[in-house]
Amino acid sequence: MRFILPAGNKKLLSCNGGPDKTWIAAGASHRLIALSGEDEAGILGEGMNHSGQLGNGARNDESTFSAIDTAGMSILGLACGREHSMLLTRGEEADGQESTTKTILFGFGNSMYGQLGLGGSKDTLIKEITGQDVAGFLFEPSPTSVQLPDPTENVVQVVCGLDHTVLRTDQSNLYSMGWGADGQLGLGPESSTDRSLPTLIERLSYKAKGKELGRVKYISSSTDFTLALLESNEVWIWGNAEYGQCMVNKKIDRILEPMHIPHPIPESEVVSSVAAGGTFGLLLTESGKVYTCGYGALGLGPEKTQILMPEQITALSGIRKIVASTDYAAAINDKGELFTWGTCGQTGRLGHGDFEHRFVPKRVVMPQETKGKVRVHDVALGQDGALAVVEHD
Amino acid sequence: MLPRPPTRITLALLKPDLSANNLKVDKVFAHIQKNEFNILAHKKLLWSKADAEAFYGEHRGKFFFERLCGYMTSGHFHALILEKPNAITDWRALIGPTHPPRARINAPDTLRSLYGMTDTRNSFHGSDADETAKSEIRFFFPEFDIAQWEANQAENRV
Repeated sequence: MRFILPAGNKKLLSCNGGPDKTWIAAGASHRLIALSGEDEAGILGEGMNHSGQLGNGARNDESTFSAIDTAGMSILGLACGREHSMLLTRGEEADGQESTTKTILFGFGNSMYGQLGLGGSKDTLIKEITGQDVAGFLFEPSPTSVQLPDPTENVVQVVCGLDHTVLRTDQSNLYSMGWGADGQLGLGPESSTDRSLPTLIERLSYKAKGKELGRVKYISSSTDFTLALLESNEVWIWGNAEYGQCMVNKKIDRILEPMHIPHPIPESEVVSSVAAGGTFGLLLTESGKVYTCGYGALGLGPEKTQILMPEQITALSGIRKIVASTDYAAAINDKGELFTWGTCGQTGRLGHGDFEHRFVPKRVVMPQETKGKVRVHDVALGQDGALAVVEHD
Repeated sequence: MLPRPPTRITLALLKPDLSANNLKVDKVFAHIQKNEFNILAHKKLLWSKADAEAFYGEHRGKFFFERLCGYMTSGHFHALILEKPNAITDWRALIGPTHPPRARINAPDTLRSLYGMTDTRNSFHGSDADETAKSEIRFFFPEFDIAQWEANQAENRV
């Protein structure tokens, strides 16, 4: 992979791939945009680069811009944690042709907990280098490829919490790495230690205990927990659930092994997507309804900030996509309208032109609306700011 | 002339998640200045696991001990000795409730609301009483002479 320094290459910005060839992701204080056009492809980064999370081969303590030339590789996915970034691309076959199945996963940024899956963390650093307990700072400022234990498997989805990473493969197995103290890695009832290499989540992996359950078709991770949606439409959870985001009518400090959520929504509805937030989780139904559970500005009004079983956000209907992060959430409806709600913070991250919390979802007015029709395709929510992919006349 | 109010000292920490973002650290220092805290000492540290377990030893065995130590060893952080009349209560009032998600709704003007991240990554520490302040200051700043500081205070009030 080549790097372009300094940032701001106009060619990258003129990508002609369209909204389906554009990926966005937002970490705590950094944001990435991946463009995958026919002739050119690359990643633009912006924000803090304290751990090299912008991936341009350097680290520094100012807010900055970056650009990574992905040298013709097709991009399949992008995800950001607090200070780390994961990039999923399509690989090449031996003859140099683009592969139909082989994917390559890259990690860059903070590696203190092992969240990049490259085999290093503050724990391994201590033992390997010094043989004794000393402190060190570990980061990888250049995209570096992550190896799965089984090289015949291919990552098809990558998601990040603040300090952990979860992978889904084409063989319907799940792997995790990074911080595990709250059960973020889902490795079992006895396991809460950090992992610095992709480690099999046996409970939900098809080649282990997950076979009896069927395949996982989608995962969503944020902050310190993960929601998984199975092909059977069952919803499973692991990690921190101390605000009742586990949707089982109680708070659970930490869920170390994936747990089935038996009856999150009425029997008449089918869950079509899930979104893990910080102190809350979201469920989307095939009928376009959104359910929320946990704590915060949940979208249920200012009086209802803590619930232990999911309730429908009645201000939303006809929704096709849900996204959640540590403090706020977003939904996009069939018409391409974007709604946000949650706590606002100092950066105006809800997109309503002010610094107010929103206890009920509010439609975001996009600046392009003055010129004509606008469709929001995707949205990424970070602690300091959000990104949206927008198509307009 | 009225005697000056007695001045106190407290130990403040700007924890790793916050310290990873210099723009936010600068803003927090502006809050410290605006609220008339005097910074007597300041250092930036990176802890090993043993350092964290030594400082948080009283919490050993609690469910959050592991994640607290994991968090506090996740990056560099700032330790400060802050001086002000009522330094302990004033600093704790400024940083706000323990849990940033709750602070954002219930105490929006506090530092944990503005710059805190999650319950674990709550971004700030402040000593809870005079005696703990002194022992925490000794832990982070063994070179700081508390007895001499107290003697200077007594002298200044005469």
